[in-house]
Amino acid sequence: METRRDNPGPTRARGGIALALGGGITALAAAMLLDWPAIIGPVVASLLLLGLLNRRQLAVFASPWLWLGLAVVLVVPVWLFGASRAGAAENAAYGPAALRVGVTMALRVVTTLAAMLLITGCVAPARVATLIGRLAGREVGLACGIGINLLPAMLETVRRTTLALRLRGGWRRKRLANLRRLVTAIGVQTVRMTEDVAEALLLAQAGVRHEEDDGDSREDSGERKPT
Amino acid sequence: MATPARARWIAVVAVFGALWGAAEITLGALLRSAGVPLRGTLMTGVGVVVMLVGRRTLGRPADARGSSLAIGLVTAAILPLSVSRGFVAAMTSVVGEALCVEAVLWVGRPAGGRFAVAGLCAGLVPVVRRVVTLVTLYGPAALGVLRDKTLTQQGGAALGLAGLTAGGLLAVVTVVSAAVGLVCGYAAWRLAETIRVRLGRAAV
Repeated sequence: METRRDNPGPTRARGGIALALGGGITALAAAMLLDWPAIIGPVVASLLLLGLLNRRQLAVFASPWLWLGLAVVLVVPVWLFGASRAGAAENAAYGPAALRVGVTMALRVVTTLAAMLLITGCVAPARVATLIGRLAGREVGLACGIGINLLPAMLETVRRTTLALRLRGGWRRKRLANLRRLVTAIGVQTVRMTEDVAEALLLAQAGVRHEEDDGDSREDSGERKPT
Repeated sequence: MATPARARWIAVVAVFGALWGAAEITLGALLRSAGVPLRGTLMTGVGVVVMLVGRRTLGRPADARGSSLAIGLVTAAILPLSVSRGFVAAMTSVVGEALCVEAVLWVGRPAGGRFAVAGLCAGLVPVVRRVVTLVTLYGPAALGVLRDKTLTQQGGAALGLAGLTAGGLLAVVTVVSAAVGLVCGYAAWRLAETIRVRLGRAAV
């Protein structure tokens, strides 16, 4: 299943989970509250923590497309058109001041992305299911837990599909037709992923039942459960 | 969770909720940061397509009941991970859109027209939420504030709408949002059909 192969999975150790959750939430809060140059601290800290707990996910930040995208969408427009365009200040900043605002916004995105990867890497579906299950029903709770865990795999699917389309000559001509192809391909991948997840759910349920039956038959025959 | 149908329901809700959530926290946050006009309407269109394709993937109406609302709830649970600061407003809109779609499709058989109507209703949710919020905060001055915010923060001036009155501006935004929802609703019906054919599944 693609999900299993791509998603590095939850951080297993209890201390690791506490560190990842604490670090992720702190980084998210810092990204929202801090400005230049203090924002550099959370960026470095969250990347270091991610490298320490789940090195494979650092690959996201090795992609030049991420940095190029951030530069094109955030840094360059704010630098060229001034900071007020992004709603950063009432009195517009231009030149080096606007560049600082753009870079701060990009670093905020990087921190949030690292925090998101830290949190999604250690969220246990069963715990989220219990929490949300109390509010919205057990099945929705379970779906929330699985959904949060699937985020990295989902982003990877979208990235791969876009890359495949680009390698076939993607956006140079017939853009509307290619956009339709991209959406269809993502839809097909998503539906396939639902089938994998449904299968995994049924298998997990069958596994739980099998263990329960195994335990019951041991108790019936007077055998002691292994401790 | 007992039957394969319920397992499939949970899987569809989880995966499509994650897809919509991923779109909101990446594409949505980028559109917001870049100050793209009518970004809320665009993201509503994405949400409508995801919810309705997910719903049709489940097949029979009895099996799909509640799925759109649940997809919205999963997305809302993912939204706090967003880069964007306004995630509470986005959560309200997402749950509202999901409620609208669920309410329209709760009874009866699914069809292209019904999907389009569900999309239209969902498309109006962000506009209604915005108006209700502004009226609550600013009272009689809400229309004026709405005009200012639409022209500056929502990029209305960049679209050449600066000459319109507050009422005219509201009418334009409402019509555009409804039209986007309508088109996305019908597009979702067609997309789900294409996916079904591509995967070689039987029609329900």
